[in-house]
Amino acid sequence: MSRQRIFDAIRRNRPPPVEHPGSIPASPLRFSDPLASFIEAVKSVGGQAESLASRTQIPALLKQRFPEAKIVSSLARGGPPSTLDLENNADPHDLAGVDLAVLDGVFGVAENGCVWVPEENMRWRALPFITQHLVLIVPAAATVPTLHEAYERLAAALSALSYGVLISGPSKTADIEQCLVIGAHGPRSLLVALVPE
Amino acid sequence: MNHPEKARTFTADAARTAWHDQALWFIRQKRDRAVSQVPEWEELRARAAAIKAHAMSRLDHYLELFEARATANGAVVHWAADGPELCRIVQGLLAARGVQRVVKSKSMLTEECHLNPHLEAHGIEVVDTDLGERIVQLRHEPPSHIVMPAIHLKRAEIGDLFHEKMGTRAGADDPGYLAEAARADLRGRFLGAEAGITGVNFAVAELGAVVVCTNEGNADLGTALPRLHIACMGLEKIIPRAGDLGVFLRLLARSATGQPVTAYTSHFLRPRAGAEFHIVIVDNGRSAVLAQPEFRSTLSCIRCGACMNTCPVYRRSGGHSYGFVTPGPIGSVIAPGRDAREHRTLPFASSLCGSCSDVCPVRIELHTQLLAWRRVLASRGLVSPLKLWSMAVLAWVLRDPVRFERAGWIGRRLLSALPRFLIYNPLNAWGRQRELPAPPRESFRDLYRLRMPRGPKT
Repeated sequence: MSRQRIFDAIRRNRPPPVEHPGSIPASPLRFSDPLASFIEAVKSVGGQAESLASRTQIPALLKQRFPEAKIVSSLARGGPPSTLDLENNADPHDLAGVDLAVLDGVFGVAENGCVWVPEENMRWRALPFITQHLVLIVPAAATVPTLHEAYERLAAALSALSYGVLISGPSKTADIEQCLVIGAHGPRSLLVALVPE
Repeated sequence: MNHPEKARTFTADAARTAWHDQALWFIRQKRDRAVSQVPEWEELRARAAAIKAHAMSRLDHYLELFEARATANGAVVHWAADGPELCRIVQGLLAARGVQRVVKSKSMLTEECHLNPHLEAHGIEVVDTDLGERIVQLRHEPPSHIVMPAIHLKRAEIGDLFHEKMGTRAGADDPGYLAEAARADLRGRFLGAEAGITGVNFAVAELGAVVVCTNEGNADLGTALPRLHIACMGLEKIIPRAGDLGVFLRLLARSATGQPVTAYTSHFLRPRAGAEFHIVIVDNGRSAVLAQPEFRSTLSCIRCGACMNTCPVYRRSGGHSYGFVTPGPIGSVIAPGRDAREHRTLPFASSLCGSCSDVCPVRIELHTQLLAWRRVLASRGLVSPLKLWSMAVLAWVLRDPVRFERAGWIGRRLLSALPRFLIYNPLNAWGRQRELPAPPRESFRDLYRLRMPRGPKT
């Protein structure tokens, strides 16, 4: 059986033990204003960012930014009403026509503009990718400096996770002569709306 | 054909060679800018190397842990000793479920194992969804770079290809227009696929998690719609802890493309409701490398491609000249381990400048390994007689100071006196595309004696 053969070979060839270097020391990459750095990072990776005084402003913002959006799937707290009933939606293929998805992000990462979105916040794994435009609602105070702090924060949650994704900007490709094209297979735009909580 | 022969074909078009060189150097510069933003870069590299060294020294333990956790999560783990076994496992999974159409996201492992032709031979349609991979798939050629598979192609060539295959306007070569056409074409294929195959960037042992990094979102879209996800990974992709991800993810995209991180970093732990999640772990020669102290650290490679982008030989000879799934410096140390005779010219496809080792995010000492391979190849009689003979002569000359000085004296006079056809003879590989410098009348030693009448102190 291949499994046994592979393990036999590894045990035969294994080098002498080397210690794990241990948990990561705090990154010296400190940000005096992590939120401002996060916003800057989101913009630098092709996304947009908007700070809101309260979640109640979300529907108005989206109406203004996405006046054309017909099919809207919103799972975010305080988000606009959905035009697609996700609860009774049995097949992710039915999401093919979604124009705008509005989801809650858990926290942002200042160094690279990432937003953490676990499966429970999207219901269908396809949703943040199949939608033409994606809006993530992120609590401003939850910003962490780097990915080290991000994984520290996630440590407890990860083992119970089914699926989760760090999203940094809209989908993109540079496979044709290194020219950046926004909107590869996934969303054509990403708007991060920062809310107080 | 070996590397120098294929490289000659590539460099025959001087303008294209210069264009390719610049395209890669541009990415190297982007990488430098991204790296300069991280003050602890060297500390991260050291840690990444140490974590990988640890993981490889306890690889059996971490693979067992990964298997146990992934199984507990509801994934099914398979083991493949080699490429053909991976192909059989994947084809078996697809056949058992009657799958006809598969979408695949980027995976160099499945390229290495020739999965696509195997599945196609069994009547399964496989569509590569990464735009660069889709381009080379439509051209029936392998990727020329592990991160940017179509880096060797100009936009006009892609425009012609898309015109023929997707009906885009003739002569249209705007990257935005072409990418949009590919998006529309592939959308339908994503929706029609019955299975999604992905590669794996990192497999976290303590979580039983598979982490996949993409910019396009194709790994996620390709696995979130069909009811079957098959992730294929080399057994060296194992890292012990979730916290280790922070180290590797901060290095990967900055090294690869100069981005601070890829657009999507996806963590797959459990199958979604009503779907299946299979993980195939492949050896295919990797466990044998564990036994080789000189070359073991190649197992730490995170496939960022930085060594290619910086390599003066890769930039000027193109990925296809290497004739191996992974080109560039890292490919040139992996390939001879698989088949030394077949790939005997690759360790010589380097100036040993060491730039690859300097940019490697996991500190693989690539240029010393290239040199080490040359020694191995020479000991196995796999180096050309001309190379061996010229090295022997050179060693004989350099061994003795008097001999060295006399050889220099003779050389300076011969170079001035001999006719051109004798100097640029067929054995002078260096002079094929280059002019030798005009020989100086006096050597450094002559000049030194002139200024220090008592002669150099010995």
